[in-house]
Amino acid sequence: MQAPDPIDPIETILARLIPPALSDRCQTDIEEMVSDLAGPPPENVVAISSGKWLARSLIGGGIAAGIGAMCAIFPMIHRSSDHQAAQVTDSKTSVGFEVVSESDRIESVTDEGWLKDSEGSPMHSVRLKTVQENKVRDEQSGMVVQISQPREEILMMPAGSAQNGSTLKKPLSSEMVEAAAMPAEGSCPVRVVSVAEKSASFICPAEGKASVSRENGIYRVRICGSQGEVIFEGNLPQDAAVEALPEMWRKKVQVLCRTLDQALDGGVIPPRQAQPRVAPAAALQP
Amino acid sequence: MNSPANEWKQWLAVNGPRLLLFARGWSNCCQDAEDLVQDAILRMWHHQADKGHKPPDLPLVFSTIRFCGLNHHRSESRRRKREESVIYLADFKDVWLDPVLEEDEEALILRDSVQNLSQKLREVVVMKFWGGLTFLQISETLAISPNTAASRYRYALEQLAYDLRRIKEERHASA
Repeated sequence: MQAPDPIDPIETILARLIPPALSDRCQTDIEEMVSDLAGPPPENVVAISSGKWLARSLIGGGIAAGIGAMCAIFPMIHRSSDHQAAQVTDSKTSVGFEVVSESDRIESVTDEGWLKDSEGSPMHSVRLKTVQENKVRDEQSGMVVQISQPREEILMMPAGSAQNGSTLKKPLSSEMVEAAAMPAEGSCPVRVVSVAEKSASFICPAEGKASVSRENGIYRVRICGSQGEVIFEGNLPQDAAVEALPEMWRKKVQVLCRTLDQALDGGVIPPRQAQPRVAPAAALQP
Repeated sequence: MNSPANEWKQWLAVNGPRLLLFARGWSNCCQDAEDLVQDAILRMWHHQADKGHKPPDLPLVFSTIRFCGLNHHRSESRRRKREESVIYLADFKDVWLDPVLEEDEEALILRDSVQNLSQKLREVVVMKFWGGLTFLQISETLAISPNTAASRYRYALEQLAYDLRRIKEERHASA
C-alpha cells in the first residue's frame, strides 16, 4: 500500500489560514486614489478629494520624512493614526537643519539586456536614472532649501533558470520594467528604453504615451493620449522631419529617437560608470 | 456599465488580501506592506491606461510589488540612518495570516513556519496557495521554469510538515 502523501494534510491546515484584509484606512485610501485617478463620475458629481492617498504616497517614500513632510507641507491633511502615532521621529539631518520632504523619483529606466558580472555570470541589467530631492529648512533663517541629487544606478538581477536547457529567461520582462517604472506621482514623466526590443517610450499619465521602435533605419512611432486613444501611428524615416506628428509631441519624439539611437549605438555609457548593484533573489528577508 | 473606478474597487476587494500577503515578504511591517500594495496599484493604473483602465492580471501585480519592494530596499539604507531615532511602540502581534478557527494549534504553528520559510519558497507558496496562480503563471512572475515552481512548492510544504511534526513533538514532550 502506498504511504499517504505528507503534504496533503499540510494543505488542509493551510486552508484554515487566511490572509488578513487590507486595513480600513488603506482600503479607503486606495479607493479614493482610484476615484481621483479616474476623475469625476459622468453624472457630473464632483467628488472632493481628501488628499489622503497623496499623504500615503509620502509615507511610502519614507516614514520619518513622510510624517515630517505631511506636517510641514500639508498640515491640513495631517491626521493621527495608529501607525503614525506609535512613532516619535526626529527628522533632523544635522544640527540646525530639518528635513521637510524627501522624494526619490525615477527619471528613466533602460533595460540593457544581458551583461556579465565580475564572475562571468549572466545578469539582467536595468539602468535607472533617479533624482533624489530633499527639502531642508534652516531653523535659524527659516529658509527652505531644495537639494537635488541626480544619480544613476545599475540593477543587476540574476538570470532565471534556463528554459529547456538553452536560453536564459529574464527575471523581469519589458512589461514588468515599464510597469514598475511608472511614476508614483501622476505628473512625472518617465522614459523607458529597451535595448533588446529596440524601443523607447515616453510615459506621462497626464499627457499620454509615445513609443518609438527602430527597424532597418525606420522609426515606428505610436502616440496615445491620456485615455489610451491613439493619436498617431505610423513610420518616420530616420532623417525625416517630424511635421507629421502633433505639435506637442514633436520634441518628445525627437528626444526619444535620439535616446534610442544612443542606446542602440552604445552611446549611453556615461563618462563615469555607475556602480553595479546585485540584487540577490532571496536576500531581502525583513 | 461599471466605471473603471468601480471595477478596480471590486477587484481590490477580492485581491487586496492576496496582494497584502505577498507584499509582507518585501516589507518590515504591515503598514509598509500596505504602502507597497498602494504603490503597485498606482503604477498599475497608469500602466493599464492604454488598455482602457481594465484591472490588471494578478501575476503582473505580483511582479510589480516585487519590483516596488526592491526599489524600497534600494533607498532603505539612506533612510535607515534617519530612522535610527524612531521609537516603535507597536506592541501588538504583527502576523501575516489569520486562523479561521480560534485555538487552532496546527494552523498557528504553520502560520509562523510560513513566515520563516526562505523568500523563494515563501513566494511560491503564497502565490500558489493564497494567490490562486498556476505554476505556469508563477514561473512567468519569478522567471523560473514551471517545474522549478512546482518543486519549490512541494519542498516548502515538506518543510512545513517537518516543522509541524517537530514542534508538536517538542510540545508533547514538555507537557
